[in-house]
Amino acid sequence: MERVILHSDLNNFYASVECLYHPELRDKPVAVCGSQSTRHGIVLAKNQIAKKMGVKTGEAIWEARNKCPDLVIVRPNFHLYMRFSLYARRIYEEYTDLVEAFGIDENWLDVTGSTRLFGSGEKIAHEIRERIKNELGITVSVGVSYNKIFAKLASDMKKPDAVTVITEKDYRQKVWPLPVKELLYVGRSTGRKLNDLGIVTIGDLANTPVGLLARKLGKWGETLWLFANGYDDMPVSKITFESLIKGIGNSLTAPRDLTCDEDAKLLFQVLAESVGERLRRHNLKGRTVQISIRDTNLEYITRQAKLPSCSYITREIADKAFEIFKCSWDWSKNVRALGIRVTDLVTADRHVQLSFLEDEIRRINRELVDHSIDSIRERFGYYAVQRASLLNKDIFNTDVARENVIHPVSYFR
Amino acid sequence: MKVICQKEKLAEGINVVQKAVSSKSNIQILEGILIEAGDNFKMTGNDLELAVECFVDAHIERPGAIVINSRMFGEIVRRLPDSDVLIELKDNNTVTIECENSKFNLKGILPEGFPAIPEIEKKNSFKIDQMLLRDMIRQTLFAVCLDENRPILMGSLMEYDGTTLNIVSIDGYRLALRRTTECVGEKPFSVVVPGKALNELVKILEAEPLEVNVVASDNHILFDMGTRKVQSRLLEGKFLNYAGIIPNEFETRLSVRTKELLSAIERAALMITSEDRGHAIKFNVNEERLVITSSTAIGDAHEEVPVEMDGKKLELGFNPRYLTDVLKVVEDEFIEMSFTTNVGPSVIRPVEGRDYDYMVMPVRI
Repeated sequence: MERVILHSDLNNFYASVECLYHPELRDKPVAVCGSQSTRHGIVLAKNQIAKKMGVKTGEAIWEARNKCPDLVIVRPNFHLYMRFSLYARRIYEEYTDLVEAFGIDENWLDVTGSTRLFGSGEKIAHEIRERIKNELGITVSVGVSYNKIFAKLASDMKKPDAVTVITEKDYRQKVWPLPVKELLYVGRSTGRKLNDLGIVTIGDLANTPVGLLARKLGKWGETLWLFANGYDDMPVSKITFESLIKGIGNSLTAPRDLTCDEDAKLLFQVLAESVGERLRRHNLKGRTVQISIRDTNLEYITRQAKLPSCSYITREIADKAFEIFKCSWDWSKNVRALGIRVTDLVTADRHVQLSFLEDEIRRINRELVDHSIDSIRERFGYYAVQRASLLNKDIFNTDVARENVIHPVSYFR
Repeated sequence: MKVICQKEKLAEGINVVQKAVSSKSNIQILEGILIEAGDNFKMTGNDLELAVECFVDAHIERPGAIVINSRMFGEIVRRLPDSDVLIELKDNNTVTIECENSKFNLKGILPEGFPAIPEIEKKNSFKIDQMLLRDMIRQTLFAVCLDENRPILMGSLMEYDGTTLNIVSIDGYRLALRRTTECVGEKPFSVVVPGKALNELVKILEAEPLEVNVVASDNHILFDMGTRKVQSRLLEGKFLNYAGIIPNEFETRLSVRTKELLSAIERAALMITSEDRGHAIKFNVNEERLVITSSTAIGDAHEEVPVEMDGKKLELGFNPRYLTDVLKVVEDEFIEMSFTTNVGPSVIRPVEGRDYDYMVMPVRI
């Protein structure tokens, strides 16, 4: 039976919520910018007016100001966004129990079983669009299709406050002319590889022999070909935003086997740099640090411990990871790979109970240092600023987050 | 064994010793109460961390001893009519409990396997009024640390310098220190008593002006109240040196009626539900009044409390529970609250006297 899948995308989510709470900003270009403790933030979201002026998500504030001198910068209230995300989810859940979060502002809904009750997918989509506007005061774009990939593409086609339908009959006209980079998971690097093969549009991809793609891109090529042809059959699972990000972690196989504490300490340092940066980027702090150790026999253990308080400070994560390691490893075998994962996440803008057992001023300063490092790297690249301890240790020093990209697994569970 | 005692006295005794009985243990006998009839009728609970003994008035017809499952024994006795209860040990370790028209036969456990309470070496001791000790524990217990990463702070420090007894609890976010000179000891000492033991002791100490004799060795502490005895293991390690932590210089001070401040904070805290756990209330210290506000998804609250203020204006956040905990146990009509900065400690003290110091860290908002 043909499925009816909706993809609902809250338009300019952060900025819309801010404008709702600050009506005086409604007619001005507004950007929500990160790194609240430093003033070097980047644009996390912008409203429609700022968008028209060319402000882009991810660019530095000064770049945005160049294009749009009147830009109003507001600081993010992640707490508030979480709440609105939840409110929207409650509305979706009145139509189906199969609601899958994809980020804070996007959800897939499988309404196949609900069409007898509520009418066609398109009718439900319009109803949701109206209700979000009336009940929450923000707008949503809804895509309706027969698989998740096309539903997501559809929601991107018309914005804001709109519904777009892609059917099995018209996907060739609607989807195929789109540039291939619009397809979920076709990033810069995959896009470049595809372009090298002469594949520019999604239609090109769909009509390329799947064997060729598999040879050039591996298993991934096959998956993308299935996406482009609308053969995606991934189910919509019940996933909330909170459960989506349970932890943030990285692991790395060392270029040579690790043989001593000093080696392990350095590798944890490198991993913590990446994990810390990702936590800060998502504005999350974690309470638990988990490490994984793979020895030269490929045997694998994980150990975890709690931090004294929620943190996204690189140094604290690295120190904790190494502390756990020292209690769990006796060097009877050498180590091949290490990993760090931070879990028990909370949004970082919540109130922080101070402790007199910790040097809170030093913690605040360390947060500021980490934010500054992040913005330097954002502008000048990862290697622009480095830990002195890693300076002459080239084999360990890598930008874990960018050079070892693993695609988000959440879609393929 | 054959004893007769009043239901009420028996139930009270069970209730006291149950404080030291583990409800779930791998060792079956630890889920039991040891009852012994000799010269006296005595009940004992012991979970190996904490042991409680209680003597109960009874008429002893035949001596003996047995261990009975604590939960079952308690449930039965609590529901018996107000009358005399007969407890008799029969063959096969069967215990018969009879009261008016009720009769129970329970399987008992031989008492030999019940852990003996370690004999305490009488190294240090002091005498103090039970009510006073109860209040001192009550005023500090809530600040005991619950984080297992800091095991030594999971107890309260009891230190005696020859004239003054201090009880101190610290969880890192606050510090509670209660002192008294109204106790008689031999020589100075310092021990750390587990918070769990104090939590039970507070319920066992009587709200009457009776004396308790406290004896401490290197590993154990005994609170001897005559008919009731509570003995706990001590925590090992060195307690935090708290002397330098409490600040002496403040930017702002205010004095306020305790009950008024408590009610205002409790009302403002209504806005903070479990969903907003960790959310702070805001203090705005300003001239002749203290403005307390809170704002969450539910709505916002605005409270004004008249105060006498001295020093700079200040705005800072607090976890409301860290304030209500202390305001509930302070009996003085007026308290003084002194502030350093919005990221440094604040101190609460009764306006009169020097018996109590409470230090609390603010919340960064």
